[in-house]
Amino acid sequence: MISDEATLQRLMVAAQGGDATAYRQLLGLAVPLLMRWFRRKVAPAELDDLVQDTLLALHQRRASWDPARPFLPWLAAIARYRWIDRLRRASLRAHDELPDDISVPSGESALAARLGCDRLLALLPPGQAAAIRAVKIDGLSVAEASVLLGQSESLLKVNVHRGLKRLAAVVDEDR
Amino acid sequence: MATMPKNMPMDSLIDALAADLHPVKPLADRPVQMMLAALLVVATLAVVAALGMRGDLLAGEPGAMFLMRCGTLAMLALISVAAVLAQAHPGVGRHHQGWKVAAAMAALYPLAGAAQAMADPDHARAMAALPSGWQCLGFSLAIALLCAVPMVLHLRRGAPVAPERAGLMLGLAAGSLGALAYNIHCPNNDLVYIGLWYGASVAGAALAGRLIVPRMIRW
Repeated sequence: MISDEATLQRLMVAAQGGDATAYRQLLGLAVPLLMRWFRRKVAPAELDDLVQDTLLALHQRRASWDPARPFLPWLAAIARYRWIDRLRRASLRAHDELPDDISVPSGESALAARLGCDRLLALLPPGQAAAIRAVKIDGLSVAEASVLLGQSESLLKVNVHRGLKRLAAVVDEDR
Repeated sequence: MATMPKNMPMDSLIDALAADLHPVKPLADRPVQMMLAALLVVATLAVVAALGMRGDLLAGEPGAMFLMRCGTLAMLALISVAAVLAQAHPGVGRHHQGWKVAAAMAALYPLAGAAQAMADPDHARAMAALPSGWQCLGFSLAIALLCAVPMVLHLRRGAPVAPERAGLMLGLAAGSLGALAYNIHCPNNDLVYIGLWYGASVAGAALAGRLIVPRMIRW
């Protein structure tokens, strides 16, 4: 089955109505979408956990999706929220360096485009974005990142803290 | 749902979630809008019963300042309530900036009041010392608290992804509703008074919303 917006929307309407088969299909389509996006954002060891966390959030908050609106932006907002929440709670390491222009099927590209981590980080001041990328995504220590970025350790910590706060505030704001 | 174990194979989780599935009604905004409208009417009637209605309203000739104040608070309330309710249904790319514009427009009152206060400090001190100012603040915040309840419950049922912003909006919405209800009684038309006491009511509610609400709606 193709994970295009119309299909996902149809399955989610059925899932809200209690159709377990449609729901299973929906979750089955959501998993590769989320895997592909999160793969570049967290360490491989964290990947399954974060996807499962997002599926649980989808399950618990499924009534908040409005059938009159598209499904993918809703899923993207939920996924971003779980991702940022995780960034705030723990330092995550991204070991794999996949290129940004990774080729994905049509449905997934729509989600990948909406979830774009780089664009989200671009909403932050450069110093904060660089600090988050170095410490929270690339997994450098504060000392290592401080040398790399030319920011004092205290400034780096402040930049990470403020940047994450700002990220949480703009989680659903960019297009 | 019951707490779902994580770190299980993905297929098992999907099976568990599908087994746990039951029909849900999409979260609707309309009941909250109706509830807020009813609360506003009841609160306004209670203010009128307890304190009375403005003289010019009773006479059927509302003054210009009252109409402007009432209109500003009503627009701020309408727009910020809509923004709060939308926070329950997240979606990347959905923008709700109207509440900022409405808040900026409403901020003209305290700004203009401050300018007048600087030009006439004695008058400003007199306005700040009026006992009715504290009454305005107290009634407005009490009604705001009442109006905040259905909005908080709505957000708790939804999926707000920016709890701090949602809390600020909710405080702004509740504060403007509270001030709107009290404003039917308030006989004062002075710009310094309005800027100070109404500004304090709405800003105080917004601040309280920003500080208190996020922890109530985080998920």
